[in-house]
Amino acid sequence: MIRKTIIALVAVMATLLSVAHAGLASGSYTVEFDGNVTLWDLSGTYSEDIGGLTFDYTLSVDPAGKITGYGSANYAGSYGIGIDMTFNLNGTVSTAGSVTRVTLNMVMKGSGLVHGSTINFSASIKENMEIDTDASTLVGTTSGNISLSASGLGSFGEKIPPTDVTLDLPYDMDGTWDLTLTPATRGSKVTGTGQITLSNGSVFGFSITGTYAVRTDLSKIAMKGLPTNKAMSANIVANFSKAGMNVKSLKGKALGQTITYTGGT
Amino acid sequence: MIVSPSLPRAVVGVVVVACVALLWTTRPSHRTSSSGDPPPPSGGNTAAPAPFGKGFLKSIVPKASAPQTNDLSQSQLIAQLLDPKESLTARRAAARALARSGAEDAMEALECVLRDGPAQLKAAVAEALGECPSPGARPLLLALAKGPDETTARGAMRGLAALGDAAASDMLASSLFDEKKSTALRTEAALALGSVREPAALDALTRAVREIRDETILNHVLDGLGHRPFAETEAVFIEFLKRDDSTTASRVAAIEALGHVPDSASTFILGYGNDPNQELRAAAAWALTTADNPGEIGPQLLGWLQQESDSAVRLRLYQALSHQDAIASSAVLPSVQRETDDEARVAGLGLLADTLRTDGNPDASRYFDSTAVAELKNTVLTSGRLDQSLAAIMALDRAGTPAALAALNEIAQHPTDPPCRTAAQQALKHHGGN
Repeated sequence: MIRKTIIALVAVMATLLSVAHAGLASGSYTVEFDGNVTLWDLSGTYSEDIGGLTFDYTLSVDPAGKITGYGSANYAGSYGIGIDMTFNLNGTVSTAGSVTRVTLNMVMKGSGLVHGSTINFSASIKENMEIDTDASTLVGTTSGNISLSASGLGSFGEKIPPTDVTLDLPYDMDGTWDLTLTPATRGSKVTGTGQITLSNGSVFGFSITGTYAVRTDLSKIAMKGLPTNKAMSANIVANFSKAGMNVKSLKGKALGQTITYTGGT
Repeated sequence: MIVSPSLPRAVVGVVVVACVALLWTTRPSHRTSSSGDPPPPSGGNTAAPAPFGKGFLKSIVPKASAPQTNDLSQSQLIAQLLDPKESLTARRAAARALARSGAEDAMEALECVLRDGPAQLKAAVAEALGECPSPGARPLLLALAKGPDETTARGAMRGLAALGDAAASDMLASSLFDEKKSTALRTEAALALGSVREPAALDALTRAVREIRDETILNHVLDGLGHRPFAETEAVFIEFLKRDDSTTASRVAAIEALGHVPDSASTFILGYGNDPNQELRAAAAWALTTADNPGEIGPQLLGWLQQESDSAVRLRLYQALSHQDAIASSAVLPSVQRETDDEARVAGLGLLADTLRTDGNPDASRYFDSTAVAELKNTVLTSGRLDQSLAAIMALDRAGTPAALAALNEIAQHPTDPPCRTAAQQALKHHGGN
């Protein structure tokens, strides 16, 4: 009898505990990362003008942080000068501690007309930059080689010495992002979906799996990028309550950048 | 008009200045002139072009690459450097010009900025000190590299790399192995060592590959090594890639680093086309995308593409093929037609657009206009992924066919994401639209 009573009491207490525990993740939770942990997406269109010369290019950054791009430069000026160049770009975004580095390589080929004579151009340019998080700009240096050739005039090549570069990031990119998890907890198992939403509106989906521990009231969740963004992943330790999701730690990889966060109370 | 100098503008500036200068040299009135004043426009000049020499081009490249400091006196440069109302770009350019002069008043101004300037300006000063002929530059650089301001210290490390001597190499090696230093600093040291030609720099990086276990730092060490000639690093890469304790992530970093070698590692990289690990195959294809001198490897890449089973690798192969000259659209078309993965397909269609622009193959053009254009437009409008949407817009831009331009026109006016509208509008501008 006593034994049955004890068992019943334990069962009741366990039930009460599970009901009372706010840590059973269920529903949709969003945490805003507004500058303490940044995620940068350089995807966008870049354009510059000098006295009638236009220089335009578009960059696309994939979930692994690989940059590809395409652009053109056009000039139609006086003295019979006309230039038309297209170029490919590639590069990477990477993080090391507090710095996010960006490399860009540009391979340009094109031709121009000077007094009816065709001049062929080619250039190989490398930019080594980092993100100035305060100004939302890319800051660094550029260098490379350029060569010109023209029929009857020969060909000439020169190095472009290190030159300072500052590029504004797309206007809607400030490094802030939201993490949304929609977990469901059954016993100690957590499953569900998640998504990362960048300041430019790009959304990346995840599947989530994990465990919930009653003793610590914490859920340990692994986020795995969906097939369209499988280069992205993260591990999270969080506490869930009616008040929301309290992220204790987060470590992951997205857009070539390492995300590391330790906090929460 | 001078706007902030970005790389592309600097390059285009070189081209434009070259053209203008060439034009001037072809004009009889200018052949003997040393004046910088432009000649008056006139039509009907049919004089035979006069040859221009290396000296001519050499004289204009530095000017065009630093338009913010062209024709400024030392005192004007100092004023530009110290004026907080000037743009960061202009102040950084002034710092570099002043450091290159090494004059006493220039050094005083640079030291003033190092005391009170914003972090990115101090970093630029530190980096520029690597090109400074003043004897005071070296001790200053060494002090800055050890200083508490991390952004400045990283700039100083790049400055030490520009110095490139044994003492600089020692300092950088010391920072790389100093576990008390931050990851940002140690990785900067690794990258800087990659551009120092001293044998000691190669020794330090080689030792780091063997000893450092922190994956982030190790990957940057490999990146640094990748900027050195493959002829001197091949053995190090081979040893690392065969090591049992190398993680996949670091092997990927090693292979991708080979895309930076100043000579060529294409044959070695292509060997990974048969690796059972798809991540290494993708890394190899990406390295061949970023390589400056991949060589004529189009046939090998096409052969690899035809038998590649992983869509992520095929995506990279399409990108690598886009950097190959003389790829026929007829050679690309069958693979693109068979491609079923959405992302790889957009990359494949971008490649097809590149090739048909060059050879105008009627079958490829027909396929592009009848199938690809609608598909790419749909990607832009419905993918919900900015990178994919922009990649699709770039493919339409590359093709430039009437159907592609019509699709771009629709996107440019569609109430879709503003970045896509802007990209489409810009592409249309390239093709003569508004």
